Amino acid sequence: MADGPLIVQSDKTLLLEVGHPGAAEARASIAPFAELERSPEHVHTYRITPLALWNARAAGHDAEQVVDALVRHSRYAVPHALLVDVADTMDRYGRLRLENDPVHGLVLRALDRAVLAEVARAKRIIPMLGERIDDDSIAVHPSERGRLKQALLKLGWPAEDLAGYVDGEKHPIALVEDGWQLRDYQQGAVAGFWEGGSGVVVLPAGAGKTIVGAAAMAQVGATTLILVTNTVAGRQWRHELLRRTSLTEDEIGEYSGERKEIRPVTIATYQVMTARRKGEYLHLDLFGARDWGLIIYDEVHLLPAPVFRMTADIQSRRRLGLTATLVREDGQEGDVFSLIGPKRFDAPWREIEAQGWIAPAECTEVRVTLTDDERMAYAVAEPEERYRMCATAASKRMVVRRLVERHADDRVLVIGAYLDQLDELGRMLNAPVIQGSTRNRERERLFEAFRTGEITTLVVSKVANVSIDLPEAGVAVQVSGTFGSRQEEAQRLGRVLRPKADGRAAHFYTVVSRDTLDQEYAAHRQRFLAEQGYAYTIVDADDIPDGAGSSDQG
Amino acid sequence: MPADEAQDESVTLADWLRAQPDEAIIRLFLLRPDLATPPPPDFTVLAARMEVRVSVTRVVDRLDTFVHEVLQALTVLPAGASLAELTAFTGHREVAAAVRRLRELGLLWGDDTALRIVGMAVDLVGERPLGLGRPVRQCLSSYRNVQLNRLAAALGGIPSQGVGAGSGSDRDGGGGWGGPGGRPDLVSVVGALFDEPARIRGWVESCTPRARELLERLASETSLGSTTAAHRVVPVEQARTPVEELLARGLIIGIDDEKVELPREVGLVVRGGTPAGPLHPRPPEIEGTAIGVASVDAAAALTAQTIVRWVTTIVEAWGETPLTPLRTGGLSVRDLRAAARLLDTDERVAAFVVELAWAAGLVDATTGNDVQFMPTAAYDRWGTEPIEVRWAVLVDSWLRAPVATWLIGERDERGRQIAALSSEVRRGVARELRADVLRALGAAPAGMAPSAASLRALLAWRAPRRTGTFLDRTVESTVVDAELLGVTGRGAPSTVGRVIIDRLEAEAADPAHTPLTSGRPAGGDTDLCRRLADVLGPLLPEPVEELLLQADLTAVAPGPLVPRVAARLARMADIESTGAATVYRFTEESLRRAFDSGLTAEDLHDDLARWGRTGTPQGLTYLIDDTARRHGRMRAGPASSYLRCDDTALLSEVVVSRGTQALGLRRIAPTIVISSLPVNDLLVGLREAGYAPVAEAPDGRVLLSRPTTHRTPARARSSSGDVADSRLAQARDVLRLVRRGDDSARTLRAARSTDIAGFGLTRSAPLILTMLQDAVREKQRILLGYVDQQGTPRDRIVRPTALDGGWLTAWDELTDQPRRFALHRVTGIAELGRSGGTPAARQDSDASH
Repeated sequence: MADGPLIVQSDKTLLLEVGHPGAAEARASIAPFAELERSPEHVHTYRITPLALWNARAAGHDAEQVVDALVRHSRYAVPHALLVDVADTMDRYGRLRLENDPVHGLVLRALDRAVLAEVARAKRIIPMLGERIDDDSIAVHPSERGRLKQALLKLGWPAEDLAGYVDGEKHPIALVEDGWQLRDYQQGAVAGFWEGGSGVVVLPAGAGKTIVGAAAMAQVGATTLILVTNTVAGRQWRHELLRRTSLTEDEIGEYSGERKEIRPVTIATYQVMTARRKGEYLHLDLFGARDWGLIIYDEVHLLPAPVFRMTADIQSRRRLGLTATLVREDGQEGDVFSLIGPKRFDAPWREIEAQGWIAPAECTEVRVTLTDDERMAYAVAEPEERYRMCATAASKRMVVRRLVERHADDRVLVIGAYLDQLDELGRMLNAPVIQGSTRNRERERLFEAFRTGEITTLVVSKVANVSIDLPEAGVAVQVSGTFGSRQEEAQRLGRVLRPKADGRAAHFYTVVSRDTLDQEYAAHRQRFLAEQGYAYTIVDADDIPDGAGSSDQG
Repeated sequence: MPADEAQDESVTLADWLRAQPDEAIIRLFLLRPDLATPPPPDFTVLAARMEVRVSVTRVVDRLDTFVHEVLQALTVLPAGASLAELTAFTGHREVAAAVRRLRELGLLWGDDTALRIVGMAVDLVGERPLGLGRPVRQCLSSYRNVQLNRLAAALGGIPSQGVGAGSGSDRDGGGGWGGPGGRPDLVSVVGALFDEPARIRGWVESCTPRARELLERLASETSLGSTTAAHRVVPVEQARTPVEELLARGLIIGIDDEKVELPREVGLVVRGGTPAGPLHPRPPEIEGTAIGVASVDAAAALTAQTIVRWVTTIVEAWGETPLTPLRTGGLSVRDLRAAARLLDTDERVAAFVVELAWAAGLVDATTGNDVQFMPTAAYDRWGTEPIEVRWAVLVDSWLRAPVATWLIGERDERGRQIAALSSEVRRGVARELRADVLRALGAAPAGMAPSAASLRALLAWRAPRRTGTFLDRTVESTVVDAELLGVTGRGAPSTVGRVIIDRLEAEAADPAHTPLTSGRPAGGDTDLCRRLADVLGPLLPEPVEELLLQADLTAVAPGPLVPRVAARLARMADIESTGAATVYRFTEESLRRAFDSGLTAEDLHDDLARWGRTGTPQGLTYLIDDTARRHGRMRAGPASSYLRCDDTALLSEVVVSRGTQALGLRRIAPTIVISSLPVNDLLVGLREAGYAPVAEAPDGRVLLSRPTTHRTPARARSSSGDVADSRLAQARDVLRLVRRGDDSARTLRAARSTDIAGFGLTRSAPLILTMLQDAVREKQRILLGYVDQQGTPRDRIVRPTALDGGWLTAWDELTDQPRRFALHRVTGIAELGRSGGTPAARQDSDASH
């Protein structure tokens, strides 16, 4: 005990000293039940939450293992109250079970009658329950399966869903492993999902989530509905599936604003799913359009609330959530847990990076000093205009140009939020601009050109935040963003994390106006980067070495 | 027992005390300090004091189960029984030690050949010692003649026989208490049948098996039973149930409509070889869970750190914003909740922490009208000590604190919530109970956490007469508090806890020792504190003096920080997570706070370079420099007036002019001068110095000045009628005073004129009390000197019936009614001799005459 790498704090955070020789072992034993909150260079912080403990229970860990892991690796005495609380919390999972009864169909069965009595009296639960079968079980209408799980989680008695899944319409899918192979962690992720039946796989951007999805489809071997964030992401899924599996063009349908195809494998966007007319969802039928054997949710942390509600109705279908982070900015992690399923696989970002599957990144904040005129304009600007003022300051342009020139032999993405700024940058850099209004076909053409090296610099707006696949983007320069959103930062960073053929480091620059709101927001994003373990440096705009040829220094 | 009786006549408690060696009396005084305050003038008074109910109750309540059982056994045996008789009666050799204990406590006197207990102790033990019923004559007094006759017939007595027949021991059966003639005789006739155990044994043996079973059950329990027809005495042949049979045989007696009692004589026979029943000479064994000493100490050390941190957090917060107490005193519920939120714990724990800080003198209420709770100067000294010393001070204070924290949040009699730090939480008895609970915890073997049940059992054995919700809640709460403090770890006494428990045990064993629980010496018990700190110190993790500084602008102290470093770091960073380690976060605000408190960027860089094991990340360096650069760029300061002038030369002249030196002018910009004088004084001063300034309104307009004139609001004029009225009122007041003075003088005269002397009244207060107690016990008539509510002294002849809670209840012969007399109004009493009593009462007092 005297010299472990772990310090257990009374607020249920765990501090892991990374440099300690026992750190790797300790990390492995606490990872199942503690969420990694931040991982800066020396001390990583994990947090034990009820959800994390239940995730661990769902994955087959028991309280004894958790307590043992804490006590064994801890440097100081572990607060006894915390251990008791851990045991109590874990004990709550699975006291209630959703099972399939041969006679009564779906039933809520209790291993603990008192708990059943308690929840059966709860106001929110009563309408979901059917007749009482015996002391230990109550019938549940199959359509309430999801909502009941949601409500039980809110009451703190998460039910274990053992009711099983329908197989769905058979449709053989095979992986075509020509020149590539499923990586170990990807295999682990698929196995974890298959054993659990439904759930979420957490992998960092660039770690090949699409391939995990494809492998899961092959495993299930049934018709599949894939929900993605937007059309471009959908096309990329299609592209990947065609490349990696035995599926043919005819077997994959696109269900979007533009096309409404329903095929054995159908890719739909969140947007079309949530489209409404007169308060009615127009495309709800999609879930029932075929006898789906698997539903894949891409970027589950962005899943909009209406899709959650729809998901509550299809609890008998296998569901696979894919995401880089379980943290939702709206705090609805509990819904992901109860409706999609518990976390089935998680690989820390840095670990995958260390294995060489994603590129190491060098993050730099470039501080630009505004001219006196700009400062004055900023000082007197209306509050709602101030961020725009500093984010789009003209002084930034020259800095962006110098950065682009510096990495002239690499592929550079310039990312921003304000269209006129992007247009100006595009003109100055002589680079095409991709924004919301750019047609999909044009987008794909530009991406392809960028991929082949025909174009080396692209200026993109927020549309690039998610799911575009630019394998060889080695440098990202962000000039403006959405008020320091952490999620956006993760996505943008993800753009440059794809491994480079020559193994060179990725560069991630943020151009910031000194002493303005811009710097304040940048501080938020930096904190996020630092918490993710990316060392960032701050340099003054004047200190950027000029000219090309220095880009291979990392 | 003629020898005993002879001794009885000659030796009184006072005589016996007089003959005791000095050490015995000194020990008595140490054990019962109330007997010595104020010093009794002679042994007679001391003996009288030893009979005072409050004093005897206090000592009887502290007896352990076995000593109490021995005391009860002595009330069953005739007065003057020998130790040998007692040993035989109880069947335990250990009684000798118990007798010694009772004797040193002054509950028992006489040597081992003739043990006597003080009268009040007999009263306190009650009517049914050791679960034995009352003597049969007392039980029988609830029967009417019909029942007595039937019983006498059933038992073979002769109902028609005359007075006193067949009764040997009943010496003064005559007289009666004014009841129907011949009745007491019937009671004594029937009662006398029970005088021979052999005869009772015969009756018992002739019972049906079911009836005997019932008898045995009653004898082994409280000797009381419930039934529906307790007064139905039928001939034996007609008895259908065991209860009816026993009632018919007189082996149980109906004492009211629903209760039957097993008379003592029968109970002793049924109990046979163990007349005293099962006694408990040894305390129950402690049971519990084995935890292991190392694990206990680790847990205790952790909580010790936590409690110190909690107290620090609360007191620091109050130092920043002192709290205003409720009007009724104490902390408002809202403030308590805020404290709980601050500590990230529940209100019960927060209340404990707050009370602890108070008990340790770290926070206090300010004096004066505007009372506020805030830290004391002692806190500053405390805060610089190492953690173990700080903890020792807290524990030491807790031991002495007369506070029952569990009361906080409960409702008082009026339904109001009891507030923390209010006077309602203060209960003197809490200290003693706490010490008892800790000692009971200490009875567990090393490394064992006693179960709640066995702890309760041990406490119940140690003080069986102490019961009630207050006790139960205090026990529970003490166990929880001890855990919070680290006196126990995971429920088992820790090594530091043992130090405290040993100390408490030593004090309990030696009455001459100043009890730890008796009050708070000014500076706490430094000796105990030092020892506690010495023992805790090695259990705590080594304090560290290094930090891990990280790019996300946090600093992790991987262990408890040296207080000096912690204090300095607290000035420059916010605490984000606490526990064994501490996580600090640097923000712009936290750094600004550091700069505000006088640190410079260089200081911060130096400190961080010294503490940072892994160097300072660039982001943090930038943040410090950026914040430092912006800090103090703007300046603000006080000024009462300003002087502005576009002509900088003129301003220069004004500032250096000799005539304006008294105006406190300071030039803060070429065209602006400020002054600490109000604008009018500034104008006057400048004008006197020969300048012609003009005043400006706050919005910049020029103000024209006119000479000011002064006014005050007019008072309403009073009419002449009012004046006349008030004079009349004054005169009325004077008259009232005169009348009142006259009245009291007359009352005084009246009081003097009534002569109450001449009856040989006893006027010494303690003697009055004992005499009244005797009178109640022996149903004597007395002459009572009494001052009534009007202050008029009167003499009354009364027959006292009860004495309780400062009131005497007695039959007043003047009015022929029962009446209650306040004891403090009794001026003296004189005995007027016996007025007779009930046979039952006589039976009781037989032993003592």
